[in-house]
Amino acid sequence: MSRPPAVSVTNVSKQFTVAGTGYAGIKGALGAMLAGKRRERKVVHALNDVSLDIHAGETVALIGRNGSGKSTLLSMLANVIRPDTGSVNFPASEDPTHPRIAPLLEVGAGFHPDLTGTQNVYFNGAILGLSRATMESRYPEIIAFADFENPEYLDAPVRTYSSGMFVRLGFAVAVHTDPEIILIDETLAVGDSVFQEKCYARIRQFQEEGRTIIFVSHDDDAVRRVATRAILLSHGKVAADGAVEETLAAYHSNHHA
Amino acid sequence: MAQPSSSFSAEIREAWRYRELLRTLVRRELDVRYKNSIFGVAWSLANPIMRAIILLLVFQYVIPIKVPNYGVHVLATFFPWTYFLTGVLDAADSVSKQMPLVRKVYFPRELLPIATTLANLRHFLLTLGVVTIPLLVVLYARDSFIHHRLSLPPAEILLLPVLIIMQTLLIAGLALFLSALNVFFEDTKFLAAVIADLLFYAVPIIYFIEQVEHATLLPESIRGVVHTLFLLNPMVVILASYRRFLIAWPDGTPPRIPLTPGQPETIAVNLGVPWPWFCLSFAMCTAIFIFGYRFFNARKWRFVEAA
Repeated sequence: MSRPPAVSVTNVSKQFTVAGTGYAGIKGALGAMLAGKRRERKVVHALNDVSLDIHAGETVALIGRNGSGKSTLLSMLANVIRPDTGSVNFPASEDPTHPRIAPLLEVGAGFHPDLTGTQNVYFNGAILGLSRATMESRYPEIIAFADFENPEYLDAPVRTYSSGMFVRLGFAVAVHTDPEIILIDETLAVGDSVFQEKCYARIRQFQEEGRTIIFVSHDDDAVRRVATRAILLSHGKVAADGAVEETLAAYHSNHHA
Repeated sequence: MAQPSSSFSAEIREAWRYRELLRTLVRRELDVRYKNSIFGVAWSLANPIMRAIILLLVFQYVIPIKVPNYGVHVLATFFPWTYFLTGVLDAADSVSKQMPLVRKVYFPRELLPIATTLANLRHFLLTLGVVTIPLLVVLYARDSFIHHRLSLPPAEILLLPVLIIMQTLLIAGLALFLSALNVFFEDTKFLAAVIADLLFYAVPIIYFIEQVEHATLLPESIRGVVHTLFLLNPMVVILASYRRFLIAWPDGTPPRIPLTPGQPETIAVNLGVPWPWFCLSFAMCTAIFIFGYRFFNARKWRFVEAA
């Protein structure tokens, strides 16, 4: 393919040092030091020399067991974790140093309970890199997408919201940020069935517009429904990469072996 | 996306790219504090106003001290102290509190403690404008009326912006340092609160710096060392300077208080800090800011891994 890939992961490795026994805090650390105990540390290889290219317009499912490294890889694509070695690049982005990436946030992340829905929408937009002017012009669309039964809730503090309302609003902001790359971590199917259908419709629209979607899921049906490609991670390495059914088959044979 | 080996200036440029987010973060902090209402602003000022009234009454009627307007001398340092305390402690968990966001979205993490600092600065300026300055206006007007002579604040009041910048650099530096540390050691904020509580007695709020210089109860051999150590604390210099910059000497000469209670010997107070010490303190605040900024940036990529 002559076009540069949307995401290029090259020889990426990542280790984490996990503190063994819990000496949380300065007091604990000082106490341990005075008692002459060394803090136990365990090194975990989250990713081990991973290389892959993802092209614009692909919808890629990352699958694998817990601890296989898929969330670490997703965090690296979101640029919240850096690889120890290797590199992650976005050569096809308009500005490769600042690709427009929209991570779908966990329920309520970045929402302040005492602020209203509207205030939180603006804040979420700012966090995802949108200017206030852009947010003002997109606000009606966002609200229409969230489709609250009682729109007056938008002026109420979000601590009065149900979890479904949180998710609707968060999802609505994220899909209106004009992202080049969308990252989804297990939050694909949210809300009631009507809203779920809306989310899937929006994802199809993104696919038609040639945007890149990368998601982590344990739900085979969701993977089959939207993914055009699946990558199986196992012990921090790519174990299978290709057509959805084949990768899922590899996962399940491996799983039950 | 700043690269791993990014320089100081590249970090600053990257943060500057996100200035609109910084504005939003500051506005959000204030929205939360004022609870979206004009009454919220009034409520947040109720505390400093009540405090001012109580302090003035106590030092007028309960603890009469032979310095005219002693309560005002206390107040002039009290609000800057509150700015320091809330600025540092609010910021200490500014990153930890936002970990769900930090774990998912990229943005320059230093914006979190800096936004908290700026929100506290805005609130401090509001307190200054609504409580301290009107109080001083009333005071100077009253003095002018009583003495039939125009009573004005000292010329040093023009240096107030320099003083506020210096204090903000100090607060921002400590905010960056503590907020990074609190991600790895979750009791940092708690320990900082304990230390700040003790620090209250080590800074000149309820006494004058000159009383430390002339502390006759201290052995003479260590008095000089104690005084030097005392002046090396930037908050000592900052608070003494607020007092000196805001409050004029009556009749152009500094007020005097007895060296020891009941004795005739007196010392002049509210002389302010000698300028070399003031400049040294400014340099220290700048250095603390740079240290805090570098400390934070050297660790910010490990925040997600730590939690």
